[in-house]
Amino acid sequence: MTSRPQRIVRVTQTELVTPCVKRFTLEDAEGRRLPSWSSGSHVSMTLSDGEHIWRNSYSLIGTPGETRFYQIAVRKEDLSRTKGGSQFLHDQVHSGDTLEIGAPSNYFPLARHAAKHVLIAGGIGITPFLAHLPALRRSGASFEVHYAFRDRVGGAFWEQLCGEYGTYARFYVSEEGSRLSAAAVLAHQPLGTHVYVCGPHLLIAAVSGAAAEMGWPASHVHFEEFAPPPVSDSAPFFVHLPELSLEVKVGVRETILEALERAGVPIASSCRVGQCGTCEMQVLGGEADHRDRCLSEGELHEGKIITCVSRCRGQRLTLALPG
Amino acid sequence: MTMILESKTVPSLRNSAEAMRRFPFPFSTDSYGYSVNLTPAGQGEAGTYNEHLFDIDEHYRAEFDERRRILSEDHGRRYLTLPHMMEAQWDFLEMSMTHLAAAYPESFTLRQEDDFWHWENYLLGITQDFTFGDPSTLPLEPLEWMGRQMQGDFCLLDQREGDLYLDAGLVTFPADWSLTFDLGMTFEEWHGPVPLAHPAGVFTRAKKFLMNLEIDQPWQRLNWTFTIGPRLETSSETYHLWGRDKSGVTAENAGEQVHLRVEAQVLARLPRSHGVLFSIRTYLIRLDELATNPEWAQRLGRVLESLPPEITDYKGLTDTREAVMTWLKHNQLD
Repeated sequence: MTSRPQRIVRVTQTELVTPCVKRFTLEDAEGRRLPSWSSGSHVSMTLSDGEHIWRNSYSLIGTPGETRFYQIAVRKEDLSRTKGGSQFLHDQVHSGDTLEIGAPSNYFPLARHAAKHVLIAGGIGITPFLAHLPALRRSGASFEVHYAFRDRVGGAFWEQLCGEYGTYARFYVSEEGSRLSAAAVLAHQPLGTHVYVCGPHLLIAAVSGAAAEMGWPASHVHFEEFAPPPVSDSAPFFVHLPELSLEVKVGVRETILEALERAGVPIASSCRVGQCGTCEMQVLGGEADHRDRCLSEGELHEGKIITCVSRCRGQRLTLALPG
Repeated sequence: MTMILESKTVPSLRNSAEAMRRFPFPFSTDSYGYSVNLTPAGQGEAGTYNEHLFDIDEHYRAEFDERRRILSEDHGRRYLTLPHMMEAQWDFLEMSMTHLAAAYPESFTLRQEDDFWHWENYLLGITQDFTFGDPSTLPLEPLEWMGRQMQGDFCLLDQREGDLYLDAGLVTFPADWSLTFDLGMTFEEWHGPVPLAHPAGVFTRAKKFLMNLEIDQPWQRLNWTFTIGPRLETSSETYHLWGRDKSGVTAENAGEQVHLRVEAQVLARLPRSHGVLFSIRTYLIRLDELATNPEWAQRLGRVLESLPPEITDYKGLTDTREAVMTWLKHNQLD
């Protein structure tokens, strides 16, 4: 695949939804229609303050198919590895500024055949569902949404969802002692139900674990991480590219992909959370520490690696450039 | 009662010098093997078949008439769509109308005001106002109505549960396959008969590629076989009518009988439904037309010489390969 074509959009509105979550409305800088999209899509964004470059992905929210503008909701992270990008968006991007985005991609679509759709969100993981919900309502499908967040002030969009989807929505406010139980949500769902989870790693693990235990087919369980898996146990290592006679250090707080981009070796990428497989490379030497969710057993065996999340067990990984 | 479909040749498909010049000759080397061989679609040089995403050429009217004939005789097996594909149908209509109107403003006009659309096709004298998303405002379903106004066949694939399903199509000009038979199949299932490529992992890679197709980044590839006579309708259902012609091909008549049949296949992401468009635009060139380009004639001869027997058999060339090679040797124009 070639690298993705970028499009310049103008920020036409910003709005603080909660103290930590800001909604941005984006329109084509030249006034053209934006590409159509399906619910569950994200756009990748290239952000720069002149010194640093960040590439982050954000779910499109709102009515799918809206092409006059796109909307995203960004949580300002304090400690996460991607903090630079979200902090930059919050503090330095204002109405009238331009940004660079790719075309929408979708690695979290609805399964059109499902008898019923159960959506489970944790925190800012609510964003892809802000497009799925209007799509489900429009299609007349059977659905319910479960949304867990810490407190009423910080829970983004819950009042809006309560108003629009009241009887189809349940809210779990952890500070008030209300906890979401994956097993309780999944119990007694009709045969043919699909479940979709977006949120922290632990929530995804809890729902997929409960679904597996209750005998749900894996094909009926869909999840999207809104951030790459935690890298707290990471150590720095080196990536060696023999074709370019280049060696790049991958720091604790960056990915192979980011380190290569920093070194001026652009690799095509899309989701940047280990799901789409676009940034795949071939391992020629060293032992990979796989953290992706897209490679098959066979591909792992062939020595493929997903560079936006996976790392190295050891000091050095030798990689071939994509063909 | 089922109508009995006739497979007919279309004599008006003879190519002008211009059509021969822009023919999508599929071989870039002297040997042939299966590969995914994808290039960006609709981004070729001006005046080539790949200049636009949907190619319109001098055979527009002949193909429209031939498709109308086939559909009037055999509609039930040529236009099939499953109920969940309606959104993908509107995707197809939007993509085809916007591209055609931009590429051929002298032939097509599209005006959009929110969901109220106005379409004009000057080639066929069609004027239509309709509401985007409301099938009751069109004379036919979007895929059939728009597909009939274009050249080529159109398949819409649903992407779900880690696979691609052939769930809708308007297929009147298939190269020995059947939409009725393949409808609802997964990607690997409908490619099941292709030899050699499965162990090579071609379809696993191709499927992964298709499932990651990006909006506004369509791709194209060329596929080829031989067809006897200027015949677009070569479905599995009518094999008894066209298959027998192959045995009549000799080294003497191959130049007038045998046509190189090239499919320019486009693969594009359908943005609203997250489905995939697979379109098959078929080009025919008579062997003696092709041989007016000595480079093409020489290369085709070398490809046939090196063709593995499994592929020769799968493409249905066993009866004709020798005769074509001999004809090409005797008719080298250089």
